[in-house]
Amino acid sequence: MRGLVMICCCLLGIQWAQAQNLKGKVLDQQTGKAMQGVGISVESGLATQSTGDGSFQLKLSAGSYLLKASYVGYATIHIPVNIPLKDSLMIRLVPSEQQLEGVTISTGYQTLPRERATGSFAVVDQRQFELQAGTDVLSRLESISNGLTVDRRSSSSGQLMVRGLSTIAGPKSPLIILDNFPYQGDVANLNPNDMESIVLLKDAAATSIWGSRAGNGVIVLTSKKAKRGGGMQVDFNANVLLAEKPDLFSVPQMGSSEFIEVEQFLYDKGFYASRINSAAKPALSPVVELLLANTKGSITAAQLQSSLEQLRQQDVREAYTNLVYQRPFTQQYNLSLRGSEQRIDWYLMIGNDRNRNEVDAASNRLNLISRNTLRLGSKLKVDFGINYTYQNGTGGKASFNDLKNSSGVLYPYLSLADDSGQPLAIPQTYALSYLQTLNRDQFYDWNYYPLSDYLNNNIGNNRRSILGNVALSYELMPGLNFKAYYQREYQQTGSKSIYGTDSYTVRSLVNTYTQLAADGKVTRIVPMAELLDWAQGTMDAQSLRAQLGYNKTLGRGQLDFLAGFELNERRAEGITGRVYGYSDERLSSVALNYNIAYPNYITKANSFLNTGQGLSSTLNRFVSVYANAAYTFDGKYILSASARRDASNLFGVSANDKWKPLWSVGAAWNVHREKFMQLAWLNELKLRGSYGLSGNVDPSRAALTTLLVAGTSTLTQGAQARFDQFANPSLRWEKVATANLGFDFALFNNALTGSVEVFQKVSSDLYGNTPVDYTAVPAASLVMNVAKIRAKGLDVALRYKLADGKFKWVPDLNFNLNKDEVLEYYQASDQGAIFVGTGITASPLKGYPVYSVFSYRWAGLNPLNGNPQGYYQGAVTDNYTQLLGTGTKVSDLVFNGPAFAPVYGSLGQHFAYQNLSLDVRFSFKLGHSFGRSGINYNNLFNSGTGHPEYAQRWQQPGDEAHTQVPSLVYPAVSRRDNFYNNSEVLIEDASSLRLAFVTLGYKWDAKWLSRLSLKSLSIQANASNLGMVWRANKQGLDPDYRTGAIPPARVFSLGLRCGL
Amino acid sequence: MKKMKKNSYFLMLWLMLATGALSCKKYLDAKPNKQLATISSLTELQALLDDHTRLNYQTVYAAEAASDDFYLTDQALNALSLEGDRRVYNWQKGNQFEGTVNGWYYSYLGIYYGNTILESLNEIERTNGNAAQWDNIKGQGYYYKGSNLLNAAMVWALAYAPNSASQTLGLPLRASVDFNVPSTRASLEDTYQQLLSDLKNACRYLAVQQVHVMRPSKAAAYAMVSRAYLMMNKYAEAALYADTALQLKSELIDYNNINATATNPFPEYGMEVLHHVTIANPAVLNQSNASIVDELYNSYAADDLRKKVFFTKLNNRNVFKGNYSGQTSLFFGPAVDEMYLNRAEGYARTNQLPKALADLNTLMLKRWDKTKTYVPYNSSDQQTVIAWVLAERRKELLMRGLRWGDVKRLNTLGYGIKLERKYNSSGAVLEPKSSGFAMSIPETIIDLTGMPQN
Repeated sequence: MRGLVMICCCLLGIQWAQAQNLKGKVLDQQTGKAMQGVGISVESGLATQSTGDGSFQLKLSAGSYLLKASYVGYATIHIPVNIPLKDSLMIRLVPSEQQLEGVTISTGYQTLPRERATGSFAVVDQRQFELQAGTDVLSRLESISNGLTVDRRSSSSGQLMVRGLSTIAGPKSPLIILDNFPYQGDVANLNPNDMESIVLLKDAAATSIWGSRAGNGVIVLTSKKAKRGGGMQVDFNANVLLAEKPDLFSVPQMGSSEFIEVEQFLYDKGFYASRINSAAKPALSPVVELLLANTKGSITAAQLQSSLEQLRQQDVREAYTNLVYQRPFTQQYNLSLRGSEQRIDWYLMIGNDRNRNEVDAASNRLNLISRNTLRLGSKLKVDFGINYTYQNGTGGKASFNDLKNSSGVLYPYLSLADDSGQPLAIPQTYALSYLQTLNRDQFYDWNYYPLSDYLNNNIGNNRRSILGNVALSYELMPGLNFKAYYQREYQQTGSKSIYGTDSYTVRSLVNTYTQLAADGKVTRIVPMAELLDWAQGTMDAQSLRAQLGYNKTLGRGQLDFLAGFELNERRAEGITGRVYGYSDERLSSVALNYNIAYPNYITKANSFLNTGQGLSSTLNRFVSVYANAAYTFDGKYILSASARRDASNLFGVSANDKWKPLWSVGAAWNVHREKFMQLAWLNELKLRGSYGLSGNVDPSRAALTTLLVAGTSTLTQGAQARFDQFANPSLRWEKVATANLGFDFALFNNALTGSVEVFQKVSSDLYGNTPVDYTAVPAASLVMNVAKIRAKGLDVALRYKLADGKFKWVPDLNFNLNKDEVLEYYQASDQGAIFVGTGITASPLKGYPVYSVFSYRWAGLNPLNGNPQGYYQGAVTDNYTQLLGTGTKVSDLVFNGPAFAPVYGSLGQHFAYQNLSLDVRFSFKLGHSFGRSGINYNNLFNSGTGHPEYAQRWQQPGDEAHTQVPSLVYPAVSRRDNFYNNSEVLIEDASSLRLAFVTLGYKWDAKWLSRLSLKSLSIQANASNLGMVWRANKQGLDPDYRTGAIPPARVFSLGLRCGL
Repeated sequence: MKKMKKNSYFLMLWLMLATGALSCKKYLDAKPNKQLATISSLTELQALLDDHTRLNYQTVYAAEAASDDFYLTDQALNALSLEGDRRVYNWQKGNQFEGTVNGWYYSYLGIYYGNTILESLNEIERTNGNAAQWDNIKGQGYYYKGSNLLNAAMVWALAYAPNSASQTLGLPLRASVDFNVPSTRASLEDTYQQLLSDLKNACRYLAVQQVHVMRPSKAAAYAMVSRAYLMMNKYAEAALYADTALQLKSELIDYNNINATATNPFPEYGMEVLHHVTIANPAVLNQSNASIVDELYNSYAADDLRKKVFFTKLNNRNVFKGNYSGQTSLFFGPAVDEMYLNRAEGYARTNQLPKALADLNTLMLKRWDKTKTYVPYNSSDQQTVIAWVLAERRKELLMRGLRWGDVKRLNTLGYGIKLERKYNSSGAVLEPKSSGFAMSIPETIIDLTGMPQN
């Protein structure tokens, strides 16, 4: 628990003792009992253990030392001592579970006592980490760590960000370190039960050791390890999780009745005529089919009305929720064993997670881990480990998105099954009425039945990963050690999709290429057999590091220095293929001619058969040299410096430019160690500051014109290529300069602890997307080093023990302030239309936040026709060519604030009474804006994207008094829709407070457990994703999730932990 | 001694770092993505030229959308999803090209590909071994540069008139791939001189026989020069280059051998195709919307096979299906039939009537029902022959992206062709001398470059 605890020590009992012999005693802080077997050591390597009465002796020559006392389950503490010492030491250890923050911090290169750190490190509380359930590591961090937020505007899984933005168009993910090296595999391989500590590196002093990939912050995951000393320990953990069905009703959808009304209106206007008449027989909606049947006279007006009436009553979301969705269910089991022998410490873990999701897709993960430390003599230590992960999954039922037709239209009134529960066909690529006319002797059933189609397919995927590492540590001479690390990670992914002969995929493919001769003779180009699509990928990553470290006590000072050399390589390859005429039983296949273009039976368009072939191969290499030095004087004053140069195989950059020096300096002052600060209520006060540079590199950016070789032309039999990137000889890596000032404190017998930090990040040479003249280059916009941004922020972490007796009450707060501003941005145009938007994409403007929400000024609806109106040169107008044209400048827009929350954080309450504990955690995001979606008639007509506010639209003069929703016009005017959807009337305050999780736990007494020969036993129940407690917008929207995304459902879990 | 030992460890470390730094240059020169290539050989250049998706299957279609060979019903017009196409169809200036991937983009994409080829060839030595391939690639580079500029000039510039061309706005001429050079509009004279020079260079370098019509051949380049001269109303040159093209390839499809009832009657890459350039039927031009004007449809004689091969009836409207693409996509590339008509017009205008009539009749014999009698065109009146050539030209080359350019050039000669959207309730009209014959350059381009708008 070395990274997760905090020290509490006191010097007691002043006695004269013999010089050169350090004596002391170790006690449990809570019980006051003497502790046996506590490891006592100094940095030069001299070590001993406390005896049965808790006492120990160490023979030391005169000088200053940092004494370390550690015991499993207790906070490790460090005490500076000067030998000769007149007094005997009294050390009191505190059980680690009560601890707040770590004493040691792992940066991936070294483990250093927090006392001697000058940088900004946020240690994730292990207890809080384990309060949550779930199979992945990173998703647990959002509500409990300081300075970390998740941006979900463009994907529901979200983008993790440490201290806000450092880049605009570059990669935004923080660097993930597992133990010593960047983790190259799929983060989903990692088992949260295997994590011992998690540290966020936030400022330059902390991150610059990671160089050009650390600009977005670093998250260091330290896995559980073998521990020296103590007997064998067995831990078992089991969890079950049950989630609710996803709430399809959280996505705005137009009502069936209104959708049908619009379709009838468009049908009468002849809008569907070109689809109906098209030789390609494109899919028609069920309503259009009915209207057409009525026009042709095949159904009567009365039949039409009753059918439409029935459709009006139907809601596809309800049907799908009832017929398809199930409650996702997850089980997690974890068993670990650890022990220590004379020469070897060992750790073994086996973990198994099993999950079935809402559409019955299964996934299983097996983790097998072994980590060992071998001591060969007093100078040589070898750590070696192997980590095997096997994950496999199967496909599930049709997703909600599969209900869309091939042009992406979802009809809100679709029914999926008839009254007797038989699956019904829904429109896909072709009109159902046309497909019915095909001769069933010549064609297979061409209908898609979403409820049952999955039964015909056998979809599977798997991932195997083996990670092996070895670390060698040799003490060359006292204070000087050499370390060598090697790690290799090999990951193999595979997927196999077998589409059965009754699957829609196969039936449709066979039918499409069916050829009919004049006499009705049928030729099948694609055989009626199973179809196999397969894909394989491999990832092979290697890292090598050689490092020299030097630690020396020089009088009252202490020097720590390390320098090293590192190679990182990641090679990924992929291959895909398709087998026609496949039989899974006989493993047969049929060779088809891929060089002939065959006609589509319906559209008559010729096309080649899809070979399914795809190849990919990428290789990223980094070479780095680095050094880090820290000097501590008297345990009070610390100076640190670090430098690193990186080079990579970034395409097209000459080798000289690849080497990029990055550095940092830091200083800290342990004020509480000063004689004049020996105050009873002050346990700790440390001031620290740092400044330095880290970088951000995007291996996909090239400085030369590059081509993407995209296969072979079946016509010219030659290779085909297109432009991938256009020459940009001035391409540079992004730089992030961070200044950090802060203090850590512990007051009132450690009842109030926390830290306050202010920082400023200036990111320069940022990649930015800027619109270009596509007369000069075939691209609408290009990425160049065009921008400079500055972020200023404040990180506050507080914890206060309000009650600390039998009843415990500990509130804690993570409060983060982060404001970014564009300092420079090369922007060729100041046309307003380029900047409006809901802040999903960056359209940076000097002096404004990087992701700003700009909107058109709103002048209400035109009382005559319900047209949305804006202002052009001061006058109210509905001339959209002017409003969206080059005459409307960015200065004419309304600035609605940042799209990222400038204030975010979390608030926790921990209650405990005897063995029972309750944790409640809230998270908040404040002060930003988002644009909600509105009706877009052009999209409604052409792609079926409706909006419930259609019902509130302007319909007659006077309506403008109570609605802001524009009237329906036909034909739709895309500029009118564009204006309305980017106007200020749709911008909302995105502030919200949500209940992240509630956890109830019970922990049995050790005394009681000893009768069962158990060391520990606890159970806990957790509920998470509990939704919003408060939101600023009145529309009932969840501003964190983008339009159309379903917020995660509530999850309930029950867990058991047991140690013996 | 102890100190020395310590020093030697540091020396070891620095040696290790130094050797590492030296040997890693090679280590770091590895390609980050195997699918990525830089341009270093003829193979890569030809691969770029074989980017069919962008060079053969995309082209500006606005000229055809603005032509008077077809009409849209109000219903079909209103149902168009691209408002810009509606404005092109109705000859309304402003916002005719929306978004960033539009006709302008594809025109200048071809020019950029061409410039890339020509600039990259400077770095690749022409040797005895690679001379044929080197020349052929250079020719293709010139061809895409010149032909795209010609297509763009038909859309965004007024018709060429010799007296005023140097004072008329032309198009930006991109001389290199350096996108830091701002775009400015050259005169129409310079625009045509540039595209003629590029296309003539293409004639010089291109191979006579290509492996496939996806690649432009020498004949295709001659055809494009002929097309350019015709657009300039330079008849002797138009005839000369058409004649050269025909000397390389002159075979015509006999429509008697074509199945008139087929959905797509013509074979793909048929014998008349000189270079395969198509556009997958945009909504404004596809069969379910675009109907052929009655005046044109009725002008085909009953025994003219084109009346059956080219058209089909859809809901009582005559729609076009005679695409030389062999698919539903429209064919905009040069072809042999166009060359017969170019040469015929050139001969007729230069008063070589027998030659003009011979070309016309050669073409017509392949279009006429062989079971019916064909009465050859015959006249000694120049104006009559010219009128016949123009009439056959319109009937043969509809939906090929040429009619709009023809209307423009004929109006500079005083033909006074006034375009009217008769079937359109809003009743658009384009007067013969209207500035509407030069369409609006995309507004975003004007904003970014400050070039004058049409």
